[in-house]
Amino acid sequence: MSLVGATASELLSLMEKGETTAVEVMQAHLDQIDSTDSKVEAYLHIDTESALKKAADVDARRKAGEPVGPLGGLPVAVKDVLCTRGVPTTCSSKMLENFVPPYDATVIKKMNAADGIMIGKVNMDEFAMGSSTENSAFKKTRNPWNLEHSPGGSSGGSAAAVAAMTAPLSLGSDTGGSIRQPAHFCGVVGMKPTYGRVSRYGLVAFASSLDQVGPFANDVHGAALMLEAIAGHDNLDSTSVPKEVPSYTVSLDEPLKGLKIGIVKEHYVEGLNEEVEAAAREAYKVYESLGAEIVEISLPNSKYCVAAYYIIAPAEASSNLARYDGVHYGHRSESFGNSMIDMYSHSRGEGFGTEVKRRIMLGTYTLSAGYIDAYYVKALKVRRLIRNDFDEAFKQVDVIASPTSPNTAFKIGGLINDPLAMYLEDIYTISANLAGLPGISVPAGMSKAGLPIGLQLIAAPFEEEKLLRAARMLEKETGWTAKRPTLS
Amino acid sequence: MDYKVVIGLEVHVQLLTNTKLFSGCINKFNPDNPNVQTDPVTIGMPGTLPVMNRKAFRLALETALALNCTIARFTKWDRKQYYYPDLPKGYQISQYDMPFSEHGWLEIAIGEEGTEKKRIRILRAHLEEDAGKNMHDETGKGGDSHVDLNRAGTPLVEIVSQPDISSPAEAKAYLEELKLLLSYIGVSDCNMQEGSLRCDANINLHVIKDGETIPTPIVEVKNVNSFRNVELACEYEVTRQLEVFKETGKRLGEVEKETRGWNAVSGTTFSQRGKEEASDYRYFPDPDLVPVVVSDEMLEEAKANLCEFPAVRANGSSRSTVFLRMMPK
Repeated sequence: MSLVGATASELLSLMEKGETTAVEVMQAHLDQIDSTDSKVEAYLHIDTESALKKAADVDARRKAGEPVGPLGGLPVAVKDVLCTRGVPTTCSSKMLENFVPPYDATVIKKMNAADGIMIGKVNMDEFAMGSSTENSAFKKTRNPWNLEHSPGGSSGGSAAAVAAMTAPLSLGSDTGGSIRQPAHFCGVVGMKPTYGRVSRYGLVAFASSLDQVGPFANDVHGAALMLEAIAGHDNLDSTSVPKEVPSYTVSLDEPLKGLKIGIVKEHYVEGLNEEVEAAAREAYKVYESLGAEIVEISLPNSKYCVAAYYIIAPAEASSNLARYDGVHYGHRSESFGNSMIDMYSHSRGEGFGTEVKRRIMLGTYTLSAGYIDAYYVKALKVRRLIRNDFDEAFKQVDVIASPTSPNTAFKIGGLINDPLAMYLEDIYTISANLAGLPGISVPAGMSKAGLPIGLQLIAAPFEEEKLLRAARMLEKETGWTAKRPTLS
Repeated sequence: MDYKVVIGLEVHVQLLTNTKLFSGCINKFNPDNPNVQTDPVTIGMPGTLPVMNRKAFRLALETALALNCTIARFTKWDRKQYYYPDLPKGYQISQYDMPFSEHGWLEIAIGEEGTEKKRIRILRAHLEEDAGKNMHDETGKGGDSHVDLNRAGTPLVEIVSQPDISSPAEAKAYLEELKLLLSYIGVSDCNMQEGSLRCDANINLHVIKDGETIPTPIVEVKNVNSFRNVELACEYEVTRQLEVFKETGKRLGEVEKETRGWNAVSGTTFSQRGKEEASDYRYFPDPDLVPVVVSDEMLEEAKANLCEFPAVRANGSSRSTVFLRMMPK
């Protein structure tokens, strides 16, 4: 069997049986990058030598019968928003073009400890702001299913890397849908864990109260495996929760008995693409055929999600991005002007892209004296109401199912000049971030034009296990995760 | 012309902790080796996060208890946002609308003999992180400016008094009493030369004219480097403000609040900047930190630490009453 396009568990099994080695697996994926990435353009940085060396080390240990971590030498593509010691971490921004962190993010440490091997750093929207990966200062990543289309964003590189079979696993970050929407666009599994489930230490912050690191994989098992490796409390992150991490892979294949799936009546409105809706409804039928009960529920405040999000996220971003001022971090303008303030504004004006500037300005405005109560404080209240809606809903149902995003992958350039339309792409994903809930996008269909369609499942806090098992039920029954693009 | 002097002091005290307020970075005064007392959190490196130093919070509790403050059982952290090269994150983690303590007092000795006692009320005391230090070329040749972040992240308690201080001598007495108390209980060494105690004075006059009390515009005198100089700066301001009032008749509210510096060599204050340039700090709760709930245990622990000073209980100074009051029955 081909090593590229194989799932994490298939590769692990082959390596354990001695039918292949971690070096062969790594080399096959590096070759796949060589032959496809000129088209897909997912990678910003590839460290061939180091990846092969680590793979050889895993092989040596496996051969000697020494302990090998659960990721057993698998290649992992890493979103360029996670700090990697000695390896450039650019956030796809001119601001951090030359930033080489002296430390590893906690998730990178955990990935290394589990013997996952970083194959490269992948592209994203600048500072994770965007839904198309077009806001990268360096390159435009393409959707492996159709190169004229966007892979989604902001973790577009992470999704495209898995879809293009250059890695069975990858890491992304999700602030308003940045893992789930690209997973839906690229036909892979993408998961945003509960806020606090995974450490944010070393994740370059966009909006601290919403950001969460999560896995991409070419099957549900891979996502479970990767999540298990990176989850858990971290003393370096006050917002990470000291709660034991269950073994997600162990229970994965057990179907959920008496599963109750909530369908949100407010979701099926104008703007939802027919094929995307049809795929979701088809998935609900599959669940019914497996014995699940479909329950119509209401999330009355869901209509305020996008508005609340685009106040809270930019407010936090305007603060988190203040440090890129050309003094300690970031691009320093050649032109100092007449004062310190000129130096700051020239440096920031030159270093940030349009979307980042737009959000910094929005956020600065909504936190300003005289406006903070009407915008930021109000948005926090709405956020509480949204969470209350979910708390009520989860008294009735186990998971909530919906389309991941209203449309299939749009064309590159299609929405870039219409920020509001771009923001509406996140309409189904944002609420999970505002409420701090875990969410997953799992492949559930294909459009007539040959573009993937995902189904989103959301669960109550720390119910990742339930979410993964529910996703696995659909995968097992439909086989959509086994589809691979031809990349021609 | 009859007048009263009104002074309120804002004192910043560095706490004697081994590590900084939000990281495990060593906290040490080290002016000769810039940028060595640092770690990724201290220098605000992208991706890093603050984690509260519980020892620092306990020392802050002890400070507030010694100042007879009421301790809030729930307190939180806010970001104070402004751009300055000594502030690597572009914001300072501080406390805005919910300080961990407020409504305290400090007793000072006044009068010729020093036998009279006066209570100076304390409005609030909150905990925050210190900034670094900018160092500029002082030769006038326009050399580069440098930033030293050794000090960044040092735990700092800001103690704001009510405007109860009625003379420059009382201002000095307040600072001396504060230093005695805080160095005695061991929370700070209160060394003004090294910057572990820093003081800004807000001062104006209440001029009595034709039976009416007229407040003059408030002036803030920044960063004076010794207790004696705080007294001298206040004395200078009293004279200067009286002159200005006689000349202009301007009262509080009619001109912008002014910030002035102190020139110890000439013994004069000088205008630094008008408050009209004052920033909007855009305070908001720091989403990287969780609120602090002060438990009975934390309070008892802080009180117990304060009681380990038998010598203080024995003598009859004003300080002893502070501790006696807090002795468990």
